[in-house]
Amino acid sequence: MDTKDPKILSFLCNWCSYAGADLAGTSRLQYPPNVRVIRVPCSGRVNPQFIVKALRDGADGVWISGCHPGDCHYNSGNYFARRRFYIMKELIEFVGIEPERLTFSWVSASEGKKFQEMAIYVTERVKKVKDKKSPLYKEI
Amino acid sequence: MEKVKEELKRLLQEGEIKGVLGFVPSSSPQKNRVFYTENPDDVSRFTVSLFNTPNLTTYLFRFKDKGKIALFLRPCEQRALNVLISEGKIKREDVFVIGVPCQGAVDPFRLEEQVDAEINSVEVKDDKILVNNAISVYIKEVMPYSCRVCEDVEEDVDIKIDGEDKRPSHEEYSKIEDFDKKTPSEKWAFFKETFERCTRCYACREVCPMCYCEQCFVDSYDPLWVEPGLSLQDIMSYHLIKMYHMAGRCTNCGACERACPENIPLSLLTSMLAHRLKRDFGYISGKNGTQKVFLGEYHYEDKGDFIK
Amino acid sequence: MKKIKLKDFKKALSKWGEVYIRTRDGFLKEGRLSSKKSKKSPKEFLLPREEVLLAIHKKGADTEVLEAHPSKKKVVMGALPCDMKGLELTTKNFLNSPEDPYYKKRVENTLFVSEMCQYPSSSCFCTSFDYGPSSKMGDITYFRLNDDNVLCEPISEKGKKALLWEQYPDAGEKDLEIMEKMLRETAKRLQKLNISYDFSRAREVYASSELKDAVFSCLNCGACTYVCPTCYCFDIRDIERKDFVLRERVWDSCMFFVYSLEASGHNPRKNRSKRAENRFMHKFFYQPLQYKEFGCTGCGRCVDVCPAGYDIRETIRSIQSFMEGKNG
Repeated sequence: MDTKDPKILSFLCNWCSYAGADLAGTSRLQYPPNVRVIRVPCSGRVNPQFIVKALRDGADGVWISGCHPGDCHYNSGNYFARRRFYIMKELIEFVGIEPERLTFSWVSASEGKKFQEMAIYVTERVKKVKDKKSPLYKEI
Repeated sequence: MEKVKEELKRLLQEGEIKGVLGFVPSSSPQKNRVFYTENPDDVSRFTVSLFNTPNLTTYLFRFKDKGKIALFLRPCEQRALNVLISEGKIKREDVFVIGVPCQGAVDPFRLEEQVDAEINSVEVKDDKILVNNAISVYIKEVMPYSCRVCEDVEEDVDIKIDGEDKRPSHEEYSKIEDFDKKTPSEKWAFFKETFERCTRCYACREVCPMCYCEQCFVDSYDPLWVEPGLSLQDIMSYHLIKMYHMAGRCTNCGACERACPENIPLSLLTSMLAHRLKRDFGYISGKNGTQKVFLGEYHYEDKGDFIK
Repeated sequence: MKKIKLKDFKKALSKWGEVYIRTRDGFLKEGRLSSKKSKKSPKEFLLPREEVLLAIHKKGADTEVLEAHPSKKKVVMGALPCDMKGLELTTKNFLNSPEDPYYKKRVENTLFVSEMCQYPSSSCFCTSFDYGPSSKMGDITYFRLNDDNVLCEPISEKGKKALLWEQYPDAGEKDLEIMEKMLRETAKRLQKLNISYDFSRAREVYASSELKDAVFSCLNCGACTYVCPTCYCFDIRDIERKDFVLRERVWDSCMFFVYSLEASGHNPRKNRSKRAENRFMHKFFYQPLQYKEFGCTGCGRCVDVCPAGYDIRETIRSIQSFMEGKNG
């Protein structure tokens, strides 16, 4: 993999999206290797501060994925997360960080195909703004 | 005002309230000093004006379990009190609210910048401030943006100061909507220009009644959310995360912007939060003391079209 | 004293190093010499807001340690007596044993050109301490006669060597008279506080309710500590980056909760008012006890910058009356 390719940090919830990624793997569906996965128990576990921290420390994009509304293993985690992500997304866009860098999705355990499509979509989106470093990225 | 002072004096003497928290003139006429007293004779010193800079609810945490404290609150500050009540931080029965007719609040540092001279006297004349008996400045120009877009509160005051509520017109967030139309690089350029001045003195944090955490995330070593130092990235990370913590809690009182010695337009960010919550969720923070906190509840039909 | 055109003076100084002049916002490379005190003190020339002390570079299996050697020559032009007094006090702290090598190098590489003050503001109270607007401090001092001319003279050896003093004409009697008169008038316009503290009673003052009441309005932000010419607290942190570990020194403020937080989780100054009280005590009791000089220069910047309208002079007065009250 070329070092110039974008680095995308993704947070996948254990019960749906991570299982979806597994399914994509076992079904031998190809998706870009730019996505680096961190498994979290629930999308509600993702503190939106992670987004800021990731962009600041050098990720070109952040992708957060969880269970569809109504499917949360913990009943309501993704509903709370939805409101939080909304706030962070609005803030990030408002201060002028390219909206392409941030993607949210719902991927269920049975949606291996959707996971593949999303991974391609996220990578293509970040590639669009890749020529510039994220304004929040701090170099030495 | 005189009637209220008499009443406060009586309440203090009869022991119905423990003390009064308010403002007295300071050595700088453009900003009044916060003052607390338990002595009935000191009540006459209190003043209510455009130059009352911090939000007094911030000081309430110092009086936890100390008895009933009376304090002067503008509508936006009453909303802040409501948020703290709904978060269980303050009990309504521990507070004696004195409602203040609001005309907005002046940012002392912006006034200094506009006048560009030492301020020896200020006088309010209609919609202008006369500084040093010579220079007149429009109040609107030296107020934080939040004062132009303030929202109403379901009033729950114990006593009210007579006077006309002359809040500046309730503009419809047009500045925010205009700002949204800019391109990302234009937006970032604006924030770079204004936020670069931040010295990270954290006046905005300390003055904010919502920032009651004992230890702030910026002071955490592990995880190191934000590095110390003055790079724009760290400054913006701090402000972004702080603003995220304000979502649904910030009542847009503008105290952070008035406290900022570097004149950073912080209320643009807080107004943007208020605008989004109102537009997309119909949520106005601190409308009353029983409303749930925005991030502490959810609805099935919440906005979710941004999620693929 | 020599009479020099301001333009020539600046030009001559720029041969020594990069010239930073006093503007309203601080000491900057560009801008006009302001006729007010600057918002920030020039302490950052000796103790920068953030500096990397050393870097550890990982090169495969090897590591290399790179140390900082601040060697850029700078001229600070137009520092007022209150600024210079502040630097004098911080220098006492940093160059007492053990010496701070980074600070010392910066002192060697900086030429301080002070200006005798003609710009008293309502927040100033420098004459309350043992110096005043006409004090000659730094390496070179000058008086701004008018917009074009200055009267100046060297003070230190460094200042004597910095310019070719012989080539400039001596100041005339008349100019010196104007200077004397202007400085006398400035001193008259300054507020003088009576500060005669009995330092042995520090404990009593720290425990007093007078002090607690006086600092009540303080919000515990760090605005005053950052503009103060004598506040010198810093924090050292190791920061990890890819292939690098940086040891950074950044300003800290005694107003913050984490400043006094101990590793055990205990915080001796957990209370907001205690932190504000400590700042006052440090400047007016502990520093005089240690260095025989007040830790305040009376520049009044904290009064200008405070968002809560807190005025340190009120605290000084109320502690003075506390002292007198208990004696009499």
